Amino acid sequence: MSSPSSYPKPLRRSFNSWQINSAREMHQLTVKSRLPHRLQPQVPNSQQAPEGAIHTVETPHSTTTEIQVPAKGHNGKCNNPQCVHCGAVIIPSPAASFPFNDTPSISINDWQIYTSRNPILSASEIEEFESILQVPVPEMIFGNNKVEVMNTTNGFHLIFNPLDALKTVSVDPKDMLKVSYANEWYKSRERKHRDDEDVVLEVFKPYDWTYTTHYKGTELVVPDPGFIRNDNYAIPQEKLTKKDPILFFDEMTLFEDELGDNGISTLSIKIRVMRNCMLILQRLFVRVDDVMLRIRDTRLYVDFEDGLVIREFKRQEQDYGELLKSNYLHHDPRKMLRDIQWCASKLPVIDIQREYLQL
Amino acid sequence: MLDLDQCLEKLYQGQLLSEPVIEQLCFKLKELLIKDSNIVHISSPITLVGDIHGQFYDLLEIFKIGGYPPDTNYLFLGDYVDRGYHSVETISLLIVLKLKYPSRVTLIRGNHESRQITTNYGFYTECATKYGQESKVWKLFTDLFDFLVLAAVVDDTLFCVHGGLSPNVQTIDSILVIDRFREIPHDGPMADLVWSDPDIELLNFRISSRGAGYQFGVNVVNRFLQLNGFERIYRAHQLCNEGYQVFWKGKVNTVWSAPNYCYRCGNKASILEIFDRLSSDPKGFRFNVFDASPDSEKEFIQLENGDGEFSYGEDGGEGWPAVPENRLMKKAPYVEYFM
Repeated sequence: MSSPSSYPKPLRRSFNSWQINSAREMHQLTVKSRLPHRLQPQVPNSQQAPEGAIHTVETPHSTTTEIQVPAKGHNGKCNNPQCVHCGAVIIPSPAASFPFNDTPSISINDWQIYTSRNPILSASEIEEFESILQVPVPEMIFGNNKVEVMNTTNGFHLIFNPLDALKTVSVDPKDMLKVSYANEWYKSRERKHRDDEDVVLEVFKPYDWTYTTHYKGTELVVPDPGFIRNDNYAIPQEKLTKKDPILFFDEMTLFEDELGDNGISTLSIKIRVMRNCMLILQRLFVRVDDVMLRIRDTRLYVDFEDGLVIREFKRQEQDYGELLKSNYLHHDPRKMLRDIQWCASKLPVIDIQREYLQL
Repeated sequence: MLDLDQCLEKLYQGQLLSEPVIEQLCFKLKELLIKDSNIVHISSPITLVGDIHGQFYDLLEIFKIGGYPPDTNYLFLGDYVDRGYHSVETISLLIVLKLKYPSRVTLIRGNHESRQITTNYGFYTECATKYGQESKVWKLFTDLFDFLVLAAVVDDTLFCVHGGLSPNVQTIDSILVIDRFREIPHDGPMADLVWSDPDIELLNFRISSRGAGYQFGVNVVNRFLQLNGFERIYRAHQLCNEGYQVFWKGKVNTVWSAPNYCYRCGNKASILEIFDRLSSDPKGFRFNVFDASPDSEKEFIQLENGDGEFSYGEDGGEGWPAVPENRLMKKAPYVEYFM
């Protein structure tokens, strides 16, 4: 038997700190409510405040910007107060619920921003989704999650949600991808089941099982003349790189599917709101092992000061083998292909489309 | 000398075993498993456990809820590794339990007990991380996976498998003739048993829209049950928010045992307790549903070092390093200046 000194020492680290951090936070949200009450961390001004109370914290230089948490139009209880020190909305909520349900919001002048984070759908909710979509939903479907932006003066209302995202998934069998071993598999099936009436060989109700969505958010209300296509309207980098304090940050998965262990398809969304502007990044990442990788980014930039909204849609794609080749020196080359950030930096860009809306 | 009790003690504390010990354990277990037929026959009372996926502290929670072996008999339905952060600890513990209580613990093979899948979904990376790139731990484990059995039959009436049915398997005799001592192929009955899924809308078999693999419907289930004299099919393989799912009035059932899957799904998990035949319970079984264990917070006990990344803490011999409370509870809102 080995002595304690021969325990294997970790040589490298497998998970990045942010992955551990976010996993820890999500995990705490789901389990904390089961601990006895006294063990929960005491957070001032969160639970004690009367319902519907609005915490407004003056942040430095707030002469013209009016910030409210929760947002002016927030319905029901909000468990995400504003930090009394830095003014940022506390996400995830310091008060745990089970099953977890986080509905933070913020309003900045006449803009209101809402997000919602919940567990995956129950069996009955999945049935409801499938009856609408007519295709099987992804393995992990966070159907009650959403990111919502609205402007009360100009009547602008845009929402990102998984149901609408899945509605844009193709059901045209012409652009169906197949897993790496599909042809070989199909041929052997054909021979075997030639006279077997139990097996249906055609793909029944075909749909794009990689869930490649072309979703750019649902436009509930957009004032005339709507978004205008102009590829020259780049999102202003200088405002976003300024490192103004982030007042509201949230990120969530809308759906994820492991493609029957042939890769991954995941649609996730991030939002950050600063005093004078905000950015949403919705990212679809598809990896079909030994076939290809694909990223679809939708960015929505809102400038609160001059009422400019820019939406950018970027497509990246490459053959799996090509990308693997570029990484052949790594001892575990497939590890990098699980890292979405790394892939986003390596995959060649097919095209970028931009459109803007001046409110 | 291999001391199973000492291994168990270490593993229950969440410590890793050394590579030579793992080598011996895998060798011993292969010796044991090679004598098993592709289908093992076992009797109730027994507790069925579905996918665990490296969520080690949730596995310990399962033993707390369902009883520790050998006081409770366990049938594990596969998918022990990948995705969670503690696949090595999970599979090590199951191996030692199987060696120590061979008639009380049964392990079936899941689709993740395979070389190809574990390189894509994290187990390979975890082995290289915890034992070093030069170690052969991953090879030892995956070679052992080739020996795991494919299915189990409880009380001659309950058919238990990881995925589901196959068009190549009318009666269980066709499972018995499979040469299982190999990597899971893409094709054929062995692949179907670990991959296929039931579909409530279907009557027969259908090829999945991905272009490989099957989904199966109620007619093939009825015929399979009738031909083989079975009452029910129990399987795992598919995530469900409630922790279990019942198809066709209980003819097919999914057991899912990884709560808060991937540490973010917020789902429940369950184990299926099948009582013995003399039990007074009218149904004879119970899905015991549970949530993520508060203990599973240990999944994340890693110390932050200077450069802002995490590393495994120095082990003080007590299993888990003493972590300053403020580090664990640190809840500063996490923000990112993404572009």
